[in-house]
Amino acid sequence: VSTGVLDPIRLEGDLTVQVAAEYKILLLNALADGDEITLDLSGINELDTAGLQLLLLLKREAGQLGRTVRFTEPSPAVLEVLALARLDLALVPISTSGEPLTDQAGGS
Amino acid sequence: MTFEDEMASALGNFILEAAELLAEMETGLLALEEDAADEESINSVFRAAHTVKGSAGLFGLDPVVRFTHVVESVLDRMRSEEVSASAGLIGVLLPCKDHIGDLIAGVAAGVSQETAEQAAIGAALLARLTPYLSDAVVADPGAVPVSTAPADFAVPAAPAVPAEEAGQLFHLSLRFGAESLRNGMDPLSFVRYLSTMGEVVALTTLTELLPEAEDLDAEQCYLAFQITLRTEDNAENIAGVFDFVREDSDIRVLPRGSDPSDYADLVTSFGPHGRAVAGILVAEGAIPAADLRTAIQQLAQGSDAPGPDPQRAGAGVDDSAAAGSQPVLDDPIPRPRSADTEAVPESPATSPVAGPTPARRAGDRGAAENQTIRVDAGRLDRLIDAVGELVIAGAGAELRASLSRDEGLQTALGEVMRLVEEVRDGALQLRMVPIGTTFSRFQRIVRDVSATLGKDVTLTVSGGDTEVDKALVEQIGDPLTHLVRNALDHGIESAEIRAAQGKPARGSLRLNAFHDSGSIVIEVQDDGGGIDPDRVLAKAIERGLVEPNAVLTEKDIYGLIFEPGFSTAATVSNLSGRGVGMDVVKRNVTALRGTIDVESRPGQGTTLRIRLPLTLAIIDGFLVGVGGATFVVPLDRVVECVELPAESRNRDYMGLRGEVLSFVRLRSLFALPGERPRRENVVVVEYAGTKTGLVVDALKGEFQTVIKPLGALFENVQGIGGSTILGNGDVALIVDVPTLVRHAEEWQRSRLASV
Repeated sequence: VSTGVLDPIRLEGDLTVQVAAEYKILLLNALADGDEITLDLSGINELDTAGLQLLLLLKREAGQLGRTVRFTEPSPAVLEVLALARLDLALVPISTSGEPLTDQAGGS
Repeated sequence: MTFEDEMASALGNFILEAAELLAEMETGLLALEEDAADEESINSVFRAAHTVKGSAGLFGLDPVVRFTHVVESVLDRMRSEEVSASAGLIGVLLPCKDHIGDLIAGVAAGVSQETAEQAAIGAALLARLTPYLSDAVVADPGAVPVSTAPADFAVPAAPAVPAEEAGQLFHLSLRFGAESLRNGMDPLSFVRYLSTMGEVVALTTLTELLPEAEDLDAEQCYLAFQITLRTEDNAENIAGVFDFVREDSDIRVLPRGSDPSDYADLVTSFGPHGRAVAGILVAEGAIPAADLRTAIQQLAQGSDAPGPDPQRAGAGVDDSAAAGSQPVLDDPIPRPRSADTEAVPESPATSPVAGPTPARRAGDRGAAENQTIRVDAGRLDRLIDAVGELVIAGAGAELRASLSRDEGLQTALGEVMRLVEEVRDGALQLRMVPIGTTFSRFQRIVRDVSATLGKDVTLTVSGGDTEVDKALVEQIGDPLTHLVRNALDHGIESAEIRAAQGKPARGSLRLNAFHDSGSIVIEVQDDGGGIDPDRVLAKAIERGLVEPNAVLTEKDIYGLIFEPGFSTAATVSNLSGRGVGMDVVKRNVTALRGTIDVESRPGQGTTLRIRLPLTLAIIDGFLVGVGGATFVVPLDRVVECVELPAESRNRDYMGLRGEVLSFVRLRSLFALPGERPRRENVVVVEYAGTKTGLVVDALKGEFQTVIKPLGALFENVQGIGGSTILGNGDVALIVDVPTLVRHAEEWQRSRLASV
């Protein structure tokens, strides 16, 4: 049951292969709960391939479901990985103000 | 079919499709002009540009790809709300769309390279687009804009690409083993290490291999990377980086200039996702699309290995949507960003080339759009022709059955005929298309023409879903354009005059279509100054079209504007109504068996009304007999039927309610044998306001019939417009009323002159 826009979900600590399975369930559930979810990435210390592909999966799922997922406040670790994978444009519309920009892919 | 043939036919499809996409783009842009925030329009415009670019890439139409790429980048920024669809931007994008159309038109004409003029136009347009790209032009697509990065975190320096670089280029394809993550190998750390060996010129994270959410094991690695690396190291050292993971991974290091088969092998190894990889390789300049295509083709033939469609693979170029990639004007080559999860539909034009095409293509598109298939018009015509024969043959059978007195047979045949008619209606329906497609192009015309004239005009379109024969739609476009231009030019007044007359400053033009008793009626209505009948009459007298003392009704006067010789260049500027080439419009409409009339209220506006038959293939006819022959007079030309008065038996005119009606005897006109019957009939027909009688022996009633063209031998026969076959198998000729009326008039005139 959709309940519309949810409060931002803040992710803390590592988003790596060690916790990826748990996060997969948690994030997909969150997506099932709201039309629009926002993930606050400011608390992430480490992001690896497993974490990255999880974020990409979430984005794709949102697109398929016609929902929106926004990533905001990326931490330096997140920014480094996104820059490395050259995904910043696709994945994170970053704003200086901390306000999420309108998401271009997941929504509508 | 040879590969070349397939390519040629695919290119033809592309050109057709591109025209449709560009029309879609234009519609979207015009909608945005009204409502800059219309997300749907933004998306549709973007999709259209994106697809055109992708398909153009497949055919190696570099000028199209280069130009469209920049346009697409701007559109992408519009989509992500980095720039707004301002009037200024739309004003640039519209000519850009035209330019793309122009480039593709060149391709259609067999010129794949742009002309110097096109290049100049393109460059000028790109210059106008540049401001809308500005802050997206980051030196490196991967670089996070500095302002957004936290102060304590340095973004890895991503150098801009200098013109000259030391070292060699390598194309790396990295697919790590599924277990590599669990084994503690993070693919990203390998990528990170690569950047210490040289410069990562381009990198694409491929997400294509990610399975559906429920099937995804979060601890397995599904991401792949496609990297272009510039380094002074050799291939061996680069490969050595991956020694730890080599066993269950697929790591390929291809120096720039490797054998095409190596690239082809790489692409095919990606199976259905090869297309994306091919697109990246081509975009990175690893190998020209054509070479790659050929190599894949050869590979597929050689090994019989299942692989992606060669052409599809080459089409991957369209995956690029990178808005803020390289400084766009300097390096307009598409830069794929395959992590792109946007729901941009796969380019439809990529599939026609591939093997079992049309059906699959129809299916692909059908899911996303209206369920439509494209059918060759010639085939449709043949079908309709055959159905026409079927109707005729059926009528013949029915006649026989009625003679046999076999009731069971008659009932059965009645049912067959009902179905046959249903089939006929269905077949004719296939040719029907909504007129809205024709109407939609007028938004642009109105916009451009009114801008040129400095007028502010809104176009309202209604009845766009009214259906009409496709052939008619195509042929009515030009006359309509003429009427619309005329209305804008001469009909609607300038804002000052309108204000002085207390009208809203914004003029209004209306296009409307509706069905009315077997015809389609198209109206072009303006709220301008209307036509001044006195001036029209004065002009007509001056031109010798009417006698100075003639008494004409208002309707007659308005009809004068369609007279040849009425409008000349001089009338364009000073006539309050319209002028240019209305006779041409009328001729076009008449050629389609239609009529046009005009209704005007001085000071309030003008309505031009075109009435056309719904289809060109079938007419409602009126059957008449002369001697043993049967003729069909188009019913819409028939005014009435009267008996030939005895006193006119030996004259060429008769009195009809106080007017003189001249007539043509079909018997003598067509030199038909046989005695004249005691009683003759006159079918009164009207064309262009002139009534003429056709003298015939017998009136046989109405008859709906399929028109068959005359053979080449009879092409130049005057007075006959076609033929049809009657139920009893006889051939009936269809009378060409306009020619006969003109013939009667001329004959009359020459007789008067000789007196």
